[in-house]
Amino acid sequence: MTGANVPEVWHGILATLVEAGHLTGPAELGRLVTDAVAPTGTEVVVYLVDYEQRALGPLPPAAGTPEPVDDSAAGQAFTLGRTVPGPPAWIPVVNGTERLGVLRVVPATGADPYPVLAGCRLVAGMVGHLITAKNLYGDDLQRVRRSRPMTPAAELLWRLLPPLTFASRQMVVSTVLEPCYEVGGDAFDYAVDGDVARLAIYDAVGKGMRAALATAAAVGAARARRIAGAALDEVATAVDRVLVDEFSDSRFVTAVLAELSLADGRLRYVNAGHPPPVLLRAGRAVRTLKDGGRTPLGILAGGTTVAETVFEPGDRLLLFTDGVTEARDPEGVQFGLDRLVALAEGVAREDLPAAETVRRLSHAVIDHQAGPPRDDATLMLVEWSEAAARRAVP
Amino acid sequence: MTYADRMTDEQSGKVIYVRGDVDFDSHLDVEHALVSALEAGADPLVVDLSEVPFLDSSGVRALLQARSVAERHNARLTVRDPQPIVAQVLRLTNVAPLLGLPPA
Repeated sequence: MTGANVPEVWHGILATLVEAGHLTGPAELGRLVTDAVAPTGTEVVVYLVDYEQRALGPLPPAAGTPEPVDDSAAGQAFTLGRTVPGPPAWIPVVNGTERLGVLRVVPATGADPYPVLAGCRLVAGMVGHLITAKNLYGDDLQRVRRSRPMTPAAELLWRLLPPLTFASRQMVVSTVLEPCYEVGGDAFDYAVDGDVARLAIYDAVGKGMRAALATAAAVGAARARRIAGAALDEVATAVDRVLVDEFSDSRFVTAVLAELSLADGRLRYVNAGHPPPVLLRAGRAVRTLKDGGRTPLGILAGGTTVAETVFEPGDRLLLFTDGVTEARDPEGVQFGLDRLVALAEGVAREDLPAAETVRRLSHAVIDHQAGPPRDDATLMLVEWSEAAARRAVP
Repeated sequence: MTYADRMTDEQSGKVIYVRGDVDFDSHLDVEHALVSALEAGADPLVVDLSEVPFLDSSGVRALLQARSVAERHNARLTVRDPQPIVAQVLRLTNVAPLLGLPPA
């Protein structure tokens, strides 16, 4: 359904959201949406997903218990990116392709639900933009998204990261970072400019604030050089320099830095002491990217060589930190690369949205560990595929 | 428990034996043991990892930190006999050659 098929009244509601949105703070966003659609007799409540992507909680002033992401109609809309007709109906809320939550929609008694749902899909699109914009100006949206307080290191780190998911017409990148309230040393980064997607995954040695500060320095140095147009090896050298200059205790960061040409699938990469990424082709892991090796960032020994490989259309690249493969169950058995690859192959064949693929992989790692995780575990999935890009859009 | 308390004089120099996992929980103990040995004048210092079943990036950091202390003392620090999984970590991070081990 496109905007053109939506009854006129919903265009007026969009206009209300845009105009009233100027003077709306994060705390009032829930009421703004509920009030804007009220003239149609439709009841709408905004739900936001929590950091761990396990529950969807209503935005005040609405009350009510959170909806589980697994095993609920709300969760189905969120995970599959599809409207679940009700009543109540559930509509995915995204910003671009970044999954934020869902709208709970109850049409007026006796109303034809189809035009209402079409209208509410447009409202959901605007709500996605509003949530992203308003989140910058207050804490209320953050509070709804947290099931418990964050550590100082996690608080610092999350503010550095780009959104979990981005898609352009030719590619999708999606990530998960755990344990989300206690992360310290792991980070990811990406920038998609025209025909080039620049990707990075980082893992600083150690835990907590010390590790987070090293990661923050690495991300800052890499971004500054990247934006200035530096080549991959120069970016690596800039990170070396900041870590050596600012930290005196052999603090290093393992990383994969990569550039994917979206025009021809050429991938250039550097692997600074990091677990090699896995290349999946037609749902099968075909190989790991073992070249481009150098010491971890911050250890000056030898130079940086950039390796190259070429993607085929539809290829997926799975990047991860060692907290994924080294996660241990109560008996001490590691999650391991074989299990990760087998799971990734299984999930890849389901052709889920990339964000859902990494969510499921990440939850499998958490479920493998009985107690609190010993290390940060980050997953990044890159898909070079127009079909994958379309799957990322509700 | 992880121990790095046994030290012997061998032909190759002072040898310090590490036993147990070297991870976030134990890496500082290992680092302190190595640094103490270096500050007491051990040169060369050999770190025997034959009884270390697991070593993560914190363990790598402990070895590298000890290596930089060794450099300050103009001493040589090497690692010997890592188990396959530990050797793999040292190769994967490309630090094996810095610790006197063969590269990949």
